[in-house]
Amino acid sequence: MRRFTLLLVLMLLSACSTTASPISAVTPLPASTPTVAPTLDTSASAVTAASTSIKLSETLPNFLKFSEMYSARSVRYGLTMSDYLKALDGKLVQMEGYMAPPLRASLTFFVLTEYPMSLCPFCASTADWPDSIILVYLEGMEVQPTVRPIRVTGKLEIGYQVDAETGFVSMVRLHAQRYDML
Amino acid sequence: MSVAKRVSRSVMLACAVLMTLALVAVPGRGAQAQAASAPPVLILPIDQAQFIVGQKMDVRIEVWADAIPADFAVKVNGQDAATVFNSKPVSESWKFDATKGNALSYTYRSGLTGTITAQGTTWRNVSINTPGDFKVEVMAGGKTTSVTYTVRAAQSAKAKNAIFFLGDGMATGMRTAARLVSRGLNKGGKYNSPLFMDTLGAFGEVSTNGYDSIMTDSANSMSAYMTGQKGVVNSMGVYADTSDSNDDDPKVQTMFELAKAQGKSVGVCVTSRVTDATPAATWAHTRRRADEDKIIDQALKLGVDVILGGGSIFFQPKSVPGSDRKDERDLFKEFEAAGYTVVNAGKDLAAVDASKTNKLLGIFSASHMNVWIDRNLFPENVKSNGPDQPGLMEMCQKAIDILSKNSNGFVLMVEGSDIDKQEHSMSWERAVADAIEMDNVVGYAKEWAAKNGNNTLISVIGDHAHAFDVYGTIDLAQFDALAAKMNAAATPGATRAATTAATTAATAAAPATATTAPRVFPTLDPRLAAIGTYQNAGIPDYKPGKNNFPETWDVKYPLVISWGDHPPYTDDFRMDRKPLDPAVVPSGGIAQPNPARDPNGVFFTGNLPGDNNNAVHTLQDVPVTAMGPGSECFNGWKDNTEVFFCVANALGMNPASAPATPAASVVLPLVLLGALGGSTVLRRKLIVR
Repeated sequence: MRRFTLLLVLMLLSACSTTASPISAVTPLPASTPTVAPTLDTSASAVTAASTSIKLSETLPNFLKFSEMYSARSVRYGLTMSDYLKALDGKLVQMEGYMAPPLRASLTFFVLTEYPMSLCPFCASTADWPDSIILVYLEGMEVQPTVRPIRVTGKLEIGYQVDAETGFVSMVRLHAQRYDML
Repeated sequence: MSVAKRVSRSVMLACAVLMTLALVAVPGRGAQAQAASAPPVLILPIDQAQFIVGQKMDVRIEVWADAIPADFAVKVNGQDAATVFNSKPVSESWKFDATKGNALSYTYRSGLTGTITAQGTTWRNVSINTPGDFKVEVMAGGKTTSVTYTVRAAQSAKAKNAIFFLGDGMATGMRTAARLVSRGLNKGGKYNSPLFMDTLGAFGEVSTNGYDSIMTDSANSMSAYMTGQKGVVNSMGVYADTSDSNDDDPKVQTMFELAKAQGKSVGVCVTSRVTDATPAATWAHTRRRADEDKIIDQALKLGVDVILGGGSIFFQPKSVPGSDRKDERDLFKEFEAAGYTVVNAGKDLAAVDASKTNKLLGIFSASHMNVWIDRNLFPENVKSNGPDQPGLMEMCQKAIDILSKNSNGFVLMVEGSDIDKQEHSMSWERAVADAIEMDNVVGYAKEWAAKNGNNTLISVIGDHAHAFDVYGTIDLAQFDALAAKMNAAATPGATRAATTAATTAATAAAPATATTAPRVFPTLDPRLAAIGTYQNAGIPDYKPGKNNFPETWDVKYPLVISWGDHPPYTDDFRMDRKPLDPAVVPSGGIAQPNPARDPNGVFFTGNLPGDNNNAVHTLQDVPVTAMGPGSECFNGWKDNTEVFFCVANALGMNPASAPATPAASVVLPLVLLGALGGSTVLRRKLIVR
């Protein structure tokens, strides 16, 4: 229900806006976005089809869904990055999701997850990471932990990195320039 | 010898001479000065170490001094060690901080501080091929430090194969609870049937501590079973030294290495990552169990024939998201290149033709596999981990089918890995279900051994305990009724506030005395009244279902588990649909109950330091049961290192009889042999490599 309302609001907004500034503009969601919470679609064909039909923007944020990040998942090969994800390296992206329960009261980074996680991923020794996560660094900002859905906009960075402070290993990161509570 | 060393040696010599003169001149004081100058010496392997004749090891002497003392010498039973080992040792030095890192295994609570330089003298890959006692003496700075090793004679083989069941964290309390839930009591108050592990015949108790601490982890405890050596927490197949490197510690030959040398096939079937401590300790040498990427490399090098379990993150190149390797190697490809069949799904495991397969690698999940309860009852907990995971029974049956083709025999290690992991997470049903699952495999092994020559040693043991027991049952309907009353009396979620209010009221009401303030404690949660102890526990209503599992875990009077050590947590006494840790520890903060787990449950304050989010290991001895040739060795109480000798002797392991490499044998004088006591089989070569 919430997603449907969001879609409606966004479509109205996009109808009103002229040449909005790159950061504050809200990229209209593609019309094919389902109005119910997306299920994890792991079929490679569905994801590839979506990626080839979206053209990348250099100035406006490109919307990235968790389900579009990996074109295949297997026990042996792990997660295979989709062509779309690889093309977004260094580009402005926008993602929506939930904050994984954090370590501290106020954060300069957090993990964005597709579905609400009730478990602090840093804290659980035996829990496994879900597939759909991305590490978000807040550039020059802080955020209070929230259970509300959140939208982050910023530059995507692909590459192996070990966070100096937490030791957290990541292959994909989002350097957020802006976040919005939804 | 370098110039610098020569100079420093001269200086040391001069000092020694001066000190000797001082000794003569000033009696008493000189002796003190001498003792004060003798540097600490660490000899590895440690005192009381026992080996089988020919078991390979590294010997490492550490002298904690800025330079090797001039009088430094190492003797084995009075002979120069270099002669006995027929090789020159390697000398190296390093510095360590006495208050942190690897050195803490020796300096903890010693009062030692500061940066210490260690002079290391190491012989690699040596062995003693004659049984007897061997005194290793190290002279350094005027003081002699010595340790004694016992080398045990080989025994003739009684068993062809060994199937070693390891119930991780499984002590008496867990076996009892598993029997109760799985088999139930009849009207005569007797168990309807025993667990398979109860019926094996030999029965013993084993102590589990290491030598650095009374408390052990799965690494050094399993290493004791697999090498016959005590170790320090987090290490396996090595004696930990003080150097920072986790790869250079002196090694001792492991059970799987010895079995391969006998020409046997070896394998593991586990539900954890295959690189986790328990399976790793069957083959690996490392000071640091977390170096799992190196551990799987060692398995490949040794050629462990069957490896089944979880943990693909240590096989994938580091550029694969989620991989835990630090290099770009693809271990799956490397195992394939080495001739292994590689499978990643249960259906592919089932399709493996054991008659045509000699080497099998099966990795079925990214990290640890899911437990029996989640795979079978809550599949929504499984999907992201690994979509098609076989059970322990399927994995171990395939392992036995493949390994048993070897006419020299085999050694299989079966682990109920998650008994311990779920005890840590305080999810008792998941722990008990995995114990039942492992017990079913014990039943299968019994049948298999009887049909296949009756020459297999089967043993079932835990590596260490948890403080796990049953202290009653709970009436869930009564619990809910009491909860409803509490909620009616207070606003929802204000249980804690109600408790505080009651505490404040109690404080106000308590009479103030002139001397001391009254002691006030939080009031007991009224819902605890639903717990029945003694006669009120009655008999729980688990009904037998398929494969020795209860028909349902959703009963009216479930067990109430006593967790001896625990972080703060909340408990509603019902099985959790989602496996969650009991507590969370924010960075730099202290543990608090996991808000996602039983949020309306009864609160239990913690009795562990605040950085623990789960329960920890405990000290009590673990029971061992065994059957088959050589199983009588397990009767009675023994130290955990003795378990290695029970298995090795049953299999007739005799590493000294392995053919010597041509360049490396030396003939000991017969006189010395006489002094060593000899053995029934006269050995004239001290074989070294």
